[in-house]
This record gives sequence, structure tokens and C-alpha cells, in this order.
Amino acid sequence: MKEYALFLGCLIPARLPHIEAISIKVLDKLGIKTKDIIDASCCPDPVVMKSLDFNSWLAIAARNLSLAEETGSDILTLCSGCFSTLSKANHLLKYNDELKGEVNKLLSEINRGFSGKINVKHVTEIIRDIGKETIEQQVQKPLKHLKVASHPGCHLVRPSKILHVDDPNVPTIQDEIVSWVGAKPVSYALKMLCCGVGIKMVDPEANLSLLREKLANLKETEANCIVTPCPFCFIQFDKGQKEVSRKFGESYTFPVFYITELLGLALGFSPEEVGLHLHTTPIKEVE
Amino acid sequence: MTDLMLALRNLATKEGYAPAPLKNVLKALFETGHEFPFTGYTRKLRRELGLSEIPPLTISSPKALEEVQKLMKTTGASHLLKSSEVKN
Repeated sequence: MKEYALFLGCLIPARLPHIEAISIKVLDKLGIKTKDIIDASCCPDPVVMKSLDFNSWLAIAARNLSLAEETGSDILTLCSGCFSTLSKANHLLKYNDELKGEVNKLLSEINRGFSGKINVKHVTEIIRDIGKETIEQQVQKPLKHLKVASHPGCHLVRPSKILHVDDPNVPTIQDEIVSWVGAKPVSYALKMLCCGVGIKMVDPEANLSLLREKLANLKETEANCIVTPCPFCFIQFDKGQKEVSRKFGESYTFPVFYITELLGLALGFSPEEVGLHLHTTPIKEVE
Repeated sequence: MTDLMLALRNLATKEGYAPAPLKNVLKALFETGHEFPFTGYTRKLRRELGLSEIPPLTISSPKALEEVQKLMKTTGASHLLKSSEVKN
């Protein structure tokens, strides 16, 4: 059984713990064990912290990577933001000796060091790599009634030269998984448009306008739900629909799934085990 | 282009032009090691979901928090907190 060091980050354990719980259960059922990265901190945030102070962002990311290295396992992360930070920092430090030297000097002051011996994976990649055959064998409740619009978000596939997850312009990774669980992937024009959450703190108006543009496009399709691999995008869609509906006098009520929630339902976990009762936008028709 | 924008943002921050909400993230990271707080509601929910009330992260380890703070002090990020003035 393959084992990974689970990097929890902040948003999922502090705001969406049901995603943490179902992800661990789904992974276990698919033969993937996870272990804690003791004392890990915020990744830190790939937009905010990096914009404020690059050196601090890199040093804290390197500390987290060094903690994971001590476990002897590759990192598995559930958050696209954490995936972005840790993958980029790992890449920078592995391939830039000067930077690695500077960061290791900082880390030595807290008795740690970065060696560059592990890789960073997003849970979506791990599920994809488990493969169609294994996933289909495990499906107990095919989700035939779901027509799923996949929202990849900004941080899972870009920059592709570093992340190597999927085609950065036409990613299919989630659509493949959606089809393996018996649901129908739905294509739409604005698939690669940002959900807007990244600018919420500095421009709440633009944040809602972006979300509205995306939701309006989805309404023109046959999609009856949204799936995302990112907890920030998840919150933006799940809670943000209400705000967009109120602000623009429109009605958006798409059920929203985090990728392992969709897997969880298909693998036979109950809606309560999956945590659907904790969503803001109610989810119907999943029984 | 991305690298250029990043460098400009870092420079702007040093000159005191960081938006207040972003500085709050920095403050939370320095004070707890995390961007989001583990509230009483979260702890209760985690317990109900069969998870540990607080995961074994920096939030539950003074030594880990000390390490994060030391890195932030050495790199100079913690000095940004001292400037309370926010120019937009």
C-alpha cells in the first residue's frame, strides 16, 4: 500500500474538515495510506505571502518541505494553493543551488535543512494515477444522474513546466475521473476562467463579477453540478453563488463537489459521511 | 511577466503599499502559523467527524510556531507588521 505524507494546509482542516475526513476515507479505500506531517504550518499562501515577501514565503515553504522529507514519503496535498506553493518551492530549491544554499542557511538556524529528495502531488493526480480500471472496479453507486462541469482552478495545472499535471489550456484530468464514476463531464467555454476568489480580499466587486461570468456560462450548458480540486474555489462556488444571486438579481444554485466528495459518493459512502449536509448550497438528487 | 509583477509587489510592500487584508494574513501567520483560525465551532465539527480536535500542526506546537516566527524575523517579513500605516 503506497503511503504519502499528508499536507493539510489551513483552509481544509480549519474551515472544511469534512473534506479532510472524506478524502482520507476515499484514499484508504483506494489503497493509499496517509501520515501526518507533524508541526507543519501554512504552506504559505501562494498569492498573498509571495506577493508580500518572496524570501519569507520560500523559507517557510522550505521548512514544510523539510518536515515532509523527515517522513521519507512524497507529499500529498488536498489544496491547490498548497500544491502550488510546495511544488514551486520544491522546484526552485532543487534546481537552483544558490537559492538552496541561502535557504538552507536560514533553515540551519532552526536546526532544519532542505535536501530535495521528495516530490509533491495533488490528490487529483494521485486519483488519476490509480487509474480507470481500479476506480471503476471500486464504484458502488455510479453517478449517472450527474452532469458535471469541471472547474480546474488556477493552481492545479499552471505553470505546467513545473507542475506537469495536465495540459494547462485544455485540462482533462477531472473530466476523466468524472467519467470513471459514471457521471457525464460537461464542456463549457469558460472552463479556464478563474473563479475570482484570489482577488476577493482586495476587490470584492471584481471577485463577484468573475464568479457571475462563470456561473452564467454554466447556466447555458446542461451541467447540473460543479466539481473542483481546490478548497478555495469550492468555497467561492458553494457560498459565493448566494452572493452573486443577491447582488445581480439572478438565481444560481449549482451543487458543488470537491473532487473526493464525488469519489466518496460513487464509492458508496453516505451523503452524511461525505459531509454534504455541511454545504451552503443544498445538494439534491444524490441519493 | 509574472516574476516582474511579483518583484513589483514585493517592492511596493517594502514601501508600505500593501493592502490591509493582505497584512492581516501575514499577522495571522506570524501569530499562529496559519492563515485561518481553528475556532470552537471547527473543533467541535472536527470531533464529530472523527478527526482530532486540532491537527498536529504549528497551531498546536509552541516550538513549531517559534521556528516559523524566527524565519519571518530573519527574512524581514515580521518587520512589515510594524508598519501599521496602509497606503492604497
